[in-house]
Amino acid sequence: MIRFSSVSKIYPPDFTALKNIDLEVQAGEFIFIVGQSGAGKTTLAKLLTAEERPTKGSVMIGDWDITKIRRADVPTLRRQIGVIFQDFKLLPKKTVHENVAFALEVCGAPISRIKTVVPQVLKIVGLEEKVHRYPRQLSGGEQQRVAIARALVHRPKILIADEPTGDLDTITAKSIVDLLTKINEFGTTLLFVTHNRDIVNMLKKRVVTIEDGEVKGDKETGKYIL
Amino acid sequence: MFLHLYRVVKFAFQNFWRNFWLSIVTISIITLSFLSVNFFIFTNALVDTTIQAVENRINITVNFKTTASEPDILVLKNAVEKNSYVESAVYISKQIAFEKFRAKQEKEGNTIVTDSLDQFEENPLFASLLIKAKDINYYPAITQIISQSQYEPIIEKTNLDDKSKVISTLSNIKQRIQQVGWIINIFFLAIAVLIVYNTIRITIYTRKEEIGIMKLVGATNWYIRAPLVLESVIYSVIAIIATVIIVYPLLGILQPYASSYFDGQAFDVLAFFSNNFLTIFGYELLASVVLNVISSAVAIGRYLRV
Repeated sequence: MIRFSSVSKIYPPDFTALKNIDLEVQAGEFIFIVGQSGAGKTTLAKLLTAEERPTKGSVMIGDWDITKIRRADVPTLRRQIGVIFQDFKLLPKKTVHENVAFALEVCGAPISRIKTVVPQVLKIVGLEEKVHRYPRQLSGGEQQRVAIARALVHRPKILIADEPTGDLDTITAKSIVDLLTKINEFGTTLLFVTHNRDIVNMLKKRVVTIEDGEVKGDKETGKYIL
Repeated sequence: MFLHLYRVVKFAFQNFWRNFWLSIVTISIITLSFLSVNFFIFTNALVDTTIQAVENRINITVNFKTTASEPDILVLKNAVEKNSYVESAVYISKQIAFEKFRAKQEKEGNTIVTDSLDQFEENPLFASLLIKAKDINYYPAITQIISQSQYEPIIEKTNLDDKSKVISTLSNIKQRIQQVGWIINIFFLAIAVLIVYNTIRITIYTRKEEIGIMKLVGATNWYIRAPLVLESVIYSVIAIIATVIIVYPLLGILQPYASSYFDGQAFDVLAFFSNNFLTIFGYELLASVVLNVISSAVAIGRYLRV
C-alpha cells in the first residue's frame, strides 16, 4: 500500500534527514516508526502528506507516486490520509463539532452528510457531550480525541499519528493508543511515529527503527531497542 | 459552487465575530486612516476655496473713451466673450455708471458730490467693461485680445498694468500651493496605504498557524484565502461606516469656524462633503477594498506553502 524506494531527504546546505529509506507498509497494518529525537521519523511522515518532498527516491501510495504530485493535487492527497499531531493542531476559534466538520467541508461534503457523520465520529471518540466546546475548554486528551475524530471523519485508508501521546499523561496516552488500536482493527493502516518505549513494547506490533536518517531495524513483533 | 460560496461567506463572518478584538483593532486603524484622508480632503477644499476667494477679487476693467460708440464697444465685448478663457464680460454703459455713482454718493450722504453731478451738462463718466477670467492664469491671453490695435481708438485706459503684477504673483503662489499640495497628497496617501497594508499583514500573521492547519486538513488555497479576503472587505465596509459616523458631527463642529474664515465667500463644509458624498466615501471604500484584498492575498500567500 505504501512504498518508500531509496528515499533520501537532504536539507540545504548539507543536512541529511533521511538516507536511502526502503520501506513497505501493507494495507491494514499497524506499524511503529521509532527513533530518538532528530532521527528522521517526522520527516518520513511528512513525505506521506507532501509537506516535504524527497531529494531522491520515490514514495508510492497504491499506484500513486506522490513524489511527483502537483501542488494543486496536494489537498486531494491530504483528504485521503488522516493525520494527528503531538500538538493536536486544532483550529482554536472553531468548536469541537466545527473542527471535525471542517475536514468534510473542505471536500465539499453536503450539509446533510456533515450532520449525520460528525456526531457519529464524535461518539466513537467519546466527545458527543462536548460538541460545542472550543479547544481551549478541553483537556489535552480530549483535544487529541477531536484531532482523531477530524482525521477519521472522511474515512481515510491511512492514518498517520505523529507523536500523538507526546503531550499527554500516561493514563490519557493509554486511552488514545486503545482508540487508535480499535481504529486499526476496523481496517485503517496506521503509522504510529513515537519515541514512547512503553507503548511500543506493550502493543507488540511491527516496529521500524530509524537512526540518523536510516532504517536500522524492522521487526514484525518488535520492541523498542534503542 | 453555491455551497462553497455559502461556506466562504459563513466562515468570513464567523472569523470576524470570533476574532472580535482583532477585528476591532484592525477596523480602528483603517478608520483612523480614513479620518486622516478626510481631514486632508477638508484642508484641500479649504485651500481651494481660499485661492478661489482671492481669484474672485481679480478682474480687468477696460474704460472706454467718451467718444466711443456703443456698437464699437459691443464688438470688443463679443470678441472677449467668445474666448473660452473668459468667465464673464459685463458692459457698464456711461448711463449705468452715472446712476450707480450717484446712488452710491446719495447712500453715503455726499450731497456736495450729488449736487455737483447735476451741474454737468454731459455725463463725465466712462463706459467700461468688467472682465473676469475662468482662471487666474488666463489673464495674459485675454489681455492680448484687448491690446489688439483695432480696439486702441476706443479704449481710454485699462488697469492691466496695475493688475499684471498681482496676477503674476498670485498665479505663482497658486502654482506653488498646488505643487506642494500634490507632494503632501502623495506623501499622505502613501502613509495611509502603508498603515492599512501592514495592519492587514499583521492580522493575517496572527492567523498563520490556523492557515497551516487548514492546509494540513486538505483545504485548497482558494478555500483558505477567500474567507480571509472577504473578512478584510468587511473591515473596510465597517470602517467606512464608522468614518461617516465620526466625520459628520466633526464637520458640524468645524462648520461655523470654516464659514467665518472667509469674508464674503461662502464655504459650507457640510454641503461640500454631502454633495461629494459618493465620490469621497465611495472612492475611499473602493481604494480600501482593493488595498485590503491585495494585502491580504499577498500576506496569506506566504503561509500557504505548507
